[in-house]
Amino acid sequence: MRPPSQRSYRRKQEQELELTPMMSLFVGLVPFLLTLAVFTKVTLISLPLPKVAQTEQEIRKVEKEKFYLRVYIIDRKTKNQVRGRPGFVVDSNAFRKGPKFLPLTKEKSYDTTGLNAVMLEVKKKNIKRKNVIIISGKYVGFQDLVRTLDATREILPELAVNNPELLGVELFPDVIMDEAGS
Amino acid sequence: MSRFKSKRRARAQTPQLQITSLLDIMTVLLFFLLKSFGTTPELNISKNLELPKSVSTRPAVYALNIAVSKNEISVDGESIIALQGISKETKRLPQAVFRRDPDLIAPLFELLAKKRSYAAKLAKRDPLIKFKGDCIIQADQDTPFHIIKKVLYTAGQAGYLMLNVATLSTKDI
Repeated sequence: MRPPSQRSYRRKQEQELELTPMMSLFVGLVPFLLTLAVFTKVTLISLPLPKVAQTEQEIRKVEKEKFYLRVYIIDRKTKNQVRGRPGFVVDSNAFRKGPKFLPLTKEKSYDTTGLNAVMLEVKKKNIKRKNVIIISGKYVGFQDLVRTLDATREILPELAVNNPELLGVELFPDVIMDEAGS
Repeated sequence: MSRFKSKRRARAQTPQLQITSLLDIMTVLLFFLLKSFGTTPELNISKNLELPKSVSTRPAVYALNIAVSKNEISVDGESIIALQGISKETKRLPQAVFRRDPDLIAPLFELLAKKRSYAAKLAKRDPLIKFKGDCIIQADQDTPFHIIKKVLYTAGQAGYLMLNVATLSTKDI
């Protein structure tokens, strides 16, 4: 064996991964996915127009229905004969003590969480019912109307904080809308 | 001397591009884009309009678009009526758009009726096309209810019975 001074060492070359084909694949894939990416998701709330009862049987069935649920959205400008203050008024034969009034919150917005809780209370007593009438003030904004629709149609995340199993549970999805005083 | 130089040249390696970090970025970007990948139809949101936010999760469909922006009403991008006023309390439709019925927006009704009869004709010719009366209403979040109500009523009178309201989802994409 040769002494260490005479030994020849081969330099071990580091093996590098060939990443170029992968890069070319990524360069092709990223623009393709960018074109199909959805950054703001547009969703729909369906509001089919209610069918008019035409046959005698249908009319009798409607007349027999004793259940009613009305949500009034009172704005500042529209005259309100119920309370005279803006907020929600919920009226139903499910309540023994008459209509319930939900005033604006401290932030001066409609109390949709409170309305959602009232809707849940009515739903518990009338599980099979699905219809609600929303009577809105003339100057109620579209955002407030959509929040009211959400609160009457399903359990909101704000209400389901302590009971996550309730989140998204259907309340009254069949909505009829009308204008107050019309 | 010349031999020494040539030895040094032979040892010098060609510099290679370090693409590992670039690949890391690409991988992260790829996962992000795969997460936000969507195959549902994208609605063309009209200009000068902020959609209201909702918890609804129903995906968009292809249908006739009625847009109520901050200053006008349009159908599939075609402007029909200019709105008057700026705020929720002052915004209103010009009186000239109402004829006999105080809730029916006449120019909108005429255009919708035209589009409906065209869609019905197409459905008659091609059995694969069905006219279901679907219609999407995109309205600015500050639009007062009395305008929304009139638009809904006019669409219903023109034969569009499956009305949908476009919103921005507040749930995670």
